[in-house]
Amino acid sequence: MTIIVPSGTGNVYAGSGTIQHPSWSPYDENGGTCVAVSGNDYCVVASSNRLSTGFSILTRDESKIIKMSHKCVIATANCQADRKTLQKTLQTRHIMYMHNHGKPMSVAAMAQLVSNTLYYKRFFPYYTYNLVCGLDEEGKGAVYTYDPVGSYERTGYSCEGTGKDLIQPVLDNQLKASSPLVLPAENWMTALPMDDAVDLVKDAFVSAGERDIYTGDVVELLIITKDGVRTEHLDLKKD
Amino acid sequence: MVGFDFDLCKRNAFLEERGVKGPLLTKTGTTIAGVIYKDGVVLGADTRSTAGNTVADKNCEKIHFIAPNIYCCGAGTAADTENVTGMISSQLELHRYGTGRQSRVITAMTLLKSHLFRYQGHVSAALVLGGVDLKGPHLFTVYPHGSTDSLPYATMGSGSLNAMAVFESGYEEDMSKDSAVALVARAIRSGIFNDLGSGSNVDICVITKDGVEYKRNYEYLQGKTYQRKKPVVYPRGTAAVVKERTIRLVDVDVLEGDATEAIDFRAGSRILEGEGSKLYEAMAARGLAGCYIVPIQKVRGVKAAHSTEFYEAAKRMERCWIRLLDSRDSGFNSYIPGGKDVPYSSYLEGFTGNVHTLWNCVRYLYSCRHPQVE
Repeated sequence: MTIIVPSGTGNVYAGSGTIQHPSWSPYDENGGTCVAVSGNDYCVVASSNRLSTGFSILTRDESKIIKMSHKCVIATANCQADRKTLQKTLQTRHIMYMHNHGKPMSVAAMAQLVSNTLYYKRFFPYYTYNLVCGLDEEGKGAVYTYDPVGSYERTGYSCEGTGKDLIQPVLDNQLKASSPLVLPAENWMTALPMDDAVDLVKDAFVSAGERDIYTGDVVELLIITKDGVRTEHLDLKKD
Repeated sequence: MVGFDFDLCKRNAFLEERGVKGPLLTKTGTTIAGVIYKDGVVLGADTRSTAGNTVADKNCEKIHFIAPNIYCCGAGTAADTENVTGMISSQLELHRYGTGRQSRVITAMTLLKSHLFRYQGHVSAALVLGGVDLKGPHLFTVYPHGSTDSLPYATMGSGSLNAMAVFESGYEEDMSKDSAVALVARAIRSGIFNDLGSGSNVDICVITKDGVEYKRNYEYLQGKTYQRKKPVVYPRGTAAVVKERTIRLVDVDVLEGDATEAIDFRAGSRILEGEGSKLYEAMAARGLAGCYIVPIQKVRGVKAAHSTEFYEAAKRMERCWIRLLDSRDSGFNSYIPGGKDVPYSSYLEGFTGNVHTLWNCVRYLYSCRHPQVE
């Protein structure tokens, strides 16, 4: 990487005393899409396995989901370097937790840990979009959705990554019974049977793969039920 | 007027300075390629056009017509490639009218480069121009700033490196047509699968001195990989037919007049129209008896003019009269022999078994003739 020192109007970064080329970034956008849909006794998590930068494909087979326990997985889109670092940190913290407590973390605990870990880097964030998914203490499906600096919320379903603009409105249409603002509150977590949810997620990915250049190659689906985590793969278009 | 309109440039520069973003242009992030072979030129292109990260067109055409013996692949901003090739095509057409000679590839190339150079790269068209003229086959690349190359094999667009890699490994001099087409298709495929700006299908265009073979969608590479299972669509004929009944609508006689219309079901859907007394005479003459449907407005007219006759006619009917009201009244009455007005419900009771069939017929026939009712 060539560091070009612009003359005159370039940005001067506080403290450094040097002038960096304004187009350089510590981040890379590696694309990919993650989707999670939860139901009364299951949670479906899916992500595309294409890793890209610019107009190039880095690999067609990079899983973006890590399995933390038999009840909890984390799907992470965008900057691969930050995802790897974040995953390593979280896995370490999870092992420490298991040593201390003699059991894996609940989804709610993992959700809070992810939030804390992200917020810890508030001013040099992990450039990642995360979904923490699994079954909660009652055995119900849970999806937590995040921004890159740790703001989080439990939802019934969510989508992150480059295909978000294409998929999220479809999920809203198919799964949301009504606005959470409607009173009395309605249960807006989907009551879809599991097979229908898997069908919907697959269809969403195939459609996003048609129009989003960063979504393609293969979709990895993790289906979490009380019996554990089952993995499926679906081929997408390779162009 | 010649050239572009620059009126808003100053304003737009000012807006850009204030942070306003311009519109997203449709780019053909593209793989285009061409080779010269033994008898001519083969051009190839993918068919994806993009706007930012999204695919704007999954099957666009990037091989443009220039002249009957010259075609041109375009990469860059879609509007620029389409318009610049169109403009040059038009100039060459006029030139052919003037000279009566076939266009030369080098003329097209010179026109393209002088146009692009004039606009200093702002007309962003990167082209692979190929054709056959009296001097033989020619292949050129034209860059957005106006520079050109004359080459035996050439690639352009975001997938140019992928395609060139294939050419560098697979190109041979004086190839046959089949192997040239196969090589170009392989070069384009390499762009389609490895460059995110390129995708979908392969278009091929073969130009020889004898003519042009434009192979649109020469290769269709991949369809959708999953079809949604829900909602379930049942094919026609899934449910067995238990019973069939056909209502025949035949023998429509129309007697001119203004008063009434009637439909005889027993005689097979006969519609009679006529001025009151004439109608009943006509009915009597044909021995029609059974059910007649009479729109109320017309019946009212009859009643006023010929109420006695109407009533008498009604009495002669074997069974009953149905009086169908128009859309403003939603009621439904019947006349039965004896002349009493009876409400619809009792009419229903009087016609057990047959009445629903009858009523459905009435509704169907009536809605055919008066679609605004019901």
